[in-house]
Amino acid sequence: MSLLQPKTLKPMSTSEAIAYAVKQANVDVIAAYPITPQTIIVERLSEYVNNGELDAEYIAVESEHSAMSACVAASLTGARVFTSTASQGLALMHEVLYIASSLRCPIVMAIANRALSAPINIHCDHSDMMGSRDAGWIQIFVENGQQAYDRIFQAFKLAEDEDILLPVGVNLDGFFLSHAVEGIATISDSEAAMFLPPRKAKYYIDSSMPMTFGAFALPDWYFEIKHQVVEAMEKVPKKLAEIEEIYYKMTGRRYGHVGAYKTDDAEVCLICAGSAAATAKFAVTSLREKGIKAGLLSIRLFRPFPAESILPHIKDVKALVVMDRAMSPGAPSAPIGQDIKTVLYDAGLNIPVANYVYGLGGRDISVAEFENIITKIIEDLKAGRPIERGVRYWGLRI
Amino acid sequence: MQAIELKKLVEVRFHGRGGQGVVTAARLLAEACLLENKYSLSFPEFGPERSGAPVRAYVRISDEPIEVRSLVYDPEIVVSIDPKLSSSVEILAGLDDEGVVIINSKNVEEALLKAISSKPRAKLFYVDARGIALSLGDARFENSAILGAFAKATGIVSLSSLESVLRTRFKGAVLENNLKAMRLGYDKVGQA
Repeated sequence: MSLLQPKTLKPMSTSEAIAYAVKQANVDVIAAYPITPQTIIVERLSEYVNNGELDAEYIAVESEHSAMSACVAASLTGARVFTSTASQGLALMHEVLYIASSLRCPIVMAIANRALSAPINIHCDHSDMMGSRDAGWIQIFVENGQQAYDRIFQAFKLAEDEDILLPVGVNLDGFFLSHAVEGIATISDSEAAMFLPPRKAKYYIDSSMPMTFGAFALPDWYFEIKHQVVEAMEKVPKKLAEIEEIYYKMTGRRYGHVGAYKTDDAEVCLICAGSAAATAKFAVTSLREKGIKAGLLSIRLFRPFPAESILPHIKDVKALVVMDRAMSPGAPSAPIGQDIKTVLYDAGLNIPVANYVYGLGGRDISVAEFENIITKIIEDLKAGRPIERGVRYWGLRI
Repeated sequence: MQAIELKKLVEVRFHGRGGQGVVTAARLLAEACLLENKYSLSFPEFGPERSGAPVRAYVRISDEPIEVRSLVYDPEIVVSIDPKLSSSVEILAGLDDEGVVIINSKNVEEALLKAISSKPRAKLFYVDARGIALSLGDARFENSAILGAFAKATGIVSLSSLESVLRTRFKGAVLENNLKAMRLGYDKVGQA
């Protein structure tokens, strides 16, 4: 990863960086409803449109359900479309999310991950996106403002590829990222235009060339049409890697499907997603200085779940710690825990997994806590104690 | 008055209330650090988002890229923008043994002096930022006064870098008064 001098970077919050990238991506239509902690993203975009810096249609809708409905319709005309939401807003969009993916609308949406009510809470967790997990959207997690900025361009290129044509969610932790200001390396408008030329839709709504979108399908064809989303999803890992290669040549920055840190000889590997991965990395560094063989794997591409990219990093560890910032009440594991266990099972591996739910409603997790979690598992292994299966709740007061 | 040298990572915690420019002060500091070719990260910790509610904001400063995204628990520097919070010993929570505290006050209350005496290498600075701001006609200039005091007390960032950042954000009389408040804070900060 090439490092730029801090003085060459632009100070921006992750929200501002996303809005700036969306402007440079030269979107045609934005339909959005403001909700904390996403607000800054759409405020900046409405300013860009209002002051003439961005030639786009900004539709100020009356709800998130309308926002996604407008996005679907706009996308079907062949437009490049962006929206952003969080928490209750994403929940309110729910039924339209499925329509967006099944009608193969390459919408890009930034999700400023926030807890779901009740109790009402404005802070970060991943419950909102996990509730939409099976809606047929590609889901990407970012760990800092730079990733968020870069992923916006990649998300449009991926979504609009004729082999893919699926909507993409770019997930950024509410407040921890959305409101954090840091130096961002930006690309020029001409680089953005070269990387991401205007969308050229093969099929779109055009009265001179009538076609049917959103048709009825009975038991004879519904299943096959839905399966096309799965077929497109399967092509995503390879396509994203190709897109990242082009972006890497331009910027020197690439993130992959997963972020692996000191996994090569790790005895215990911790898996998590979002901003906590950056904090966990610091904990792994600190543990390594104490001679503890810890590793970190951050999930950057969450849907499709990149099993082939994950497996080489975890197949030789003695135990895994999977950290979920969302719960799945009544389920045998929390969401990422379920996926990791499936990857292990399919590979014929019986590596013990300690699955923790942490940080709901914005509760912080510190470097020291990550160190404690890993140290405890290492001690269990040394003492020959079995790793407790099932879901545990880190930091919960009982 | 060179109080602190830039270690691998310096963490700053700002205390104040909604409407006092706590989040803005943290951001201005982070932007000034970037200008000086240091990596920085600033972020707020909100309770309910409303005027008058307690707000904290954090800044991390380093010569290396900053990865940690958790809240700040053991700050090297604590800054209180709210004059009422400035006499409260709670602002010292987690302060590094060699830490620096900067408060918005005309003087230092006995209780705070006593509390900080348990860390003999820590340093306490005070500046009447409220008085400076009101002399310029608006209490809202007090965060700039505090930042001026920060530059002098810590030496981590220069007054001129902070002034440059102000110039990118404000214009006219608002800019002039913020610049004045910053300069006065720099000149008038005292060590307890």
